[in-house]
Amino acid sequence: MKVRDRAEDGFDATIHAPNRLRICALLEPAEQVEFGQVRERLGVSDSVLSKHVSVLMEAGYVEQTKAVRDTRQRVWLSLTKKGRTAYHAHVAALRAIVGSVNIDPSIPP
Amino acid sequence: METDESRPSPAEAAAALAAAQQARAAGYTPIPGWFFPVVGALVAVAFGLQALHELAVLPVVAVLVAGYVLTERVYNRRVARTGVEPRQLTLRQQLVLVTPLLALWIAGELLDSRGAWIWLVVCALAACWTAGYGLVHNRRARASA
Repeated sequence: MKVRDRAEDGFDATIHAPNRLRICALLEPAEQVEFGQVRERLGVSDSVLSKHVSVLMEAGYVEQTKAVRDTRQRVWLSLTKKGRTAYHAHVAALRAIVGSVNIDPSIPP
Repeated sequence: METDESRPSPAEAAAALAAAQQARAAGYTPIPGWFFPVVGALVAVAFGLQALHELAVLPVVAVLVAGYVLTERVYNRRVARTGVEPRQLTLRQQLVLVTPLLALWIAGELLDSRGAWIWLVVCALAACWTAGYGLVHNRRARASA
């Protein structure tokens, strides 16, 4: 099996949905990000974000913790170890797919 | 079950990568610039305890504990304000940071008989190493964001 084929095996349909990919990408360089910050930085609504976070949580990729601060309850989101691994594998798969254009002329553009 | 039909074309994959990169950059928050120099100063104070007389140790330990608590509180407030907690150092990164500090401490112990000035040098080196490590760490993290 070629290295590129192995990389493409990391493709993850759960992560690949545009908003879910952006959520994982945003959470990746951080330990945890507050729900409102994720919503603001990605420019999505509460309901859209909740829906995608639920899917990622069901897959075990994202976890949420609740913390009360200044009498307000805030929700923090973070990538799990499994989620981090899956995200990295998915990005590697995307890179392999993009790279295949230049590497393998038998694959149509 | 995933099939090849669900896979994106190279153009779609490139667009997805670009979107991910943009989101990653939006989420990137560095460890604050002051953090490592402050930790370096605390490490230097802790190492400096070796050169002090017993009577002076207690107040310095109190300063050390107060410095630690204050640093943690300021850091946590910043996290609460920004809504983003920067990524913590991995175990490997922690080892890279701590191993030279340990070596410095051992060197200080070995050369202790030459005078208290040895600990001044050790403290200065420990503070510089910690601050320098933080500088490089943040620069690398920024470059990869």
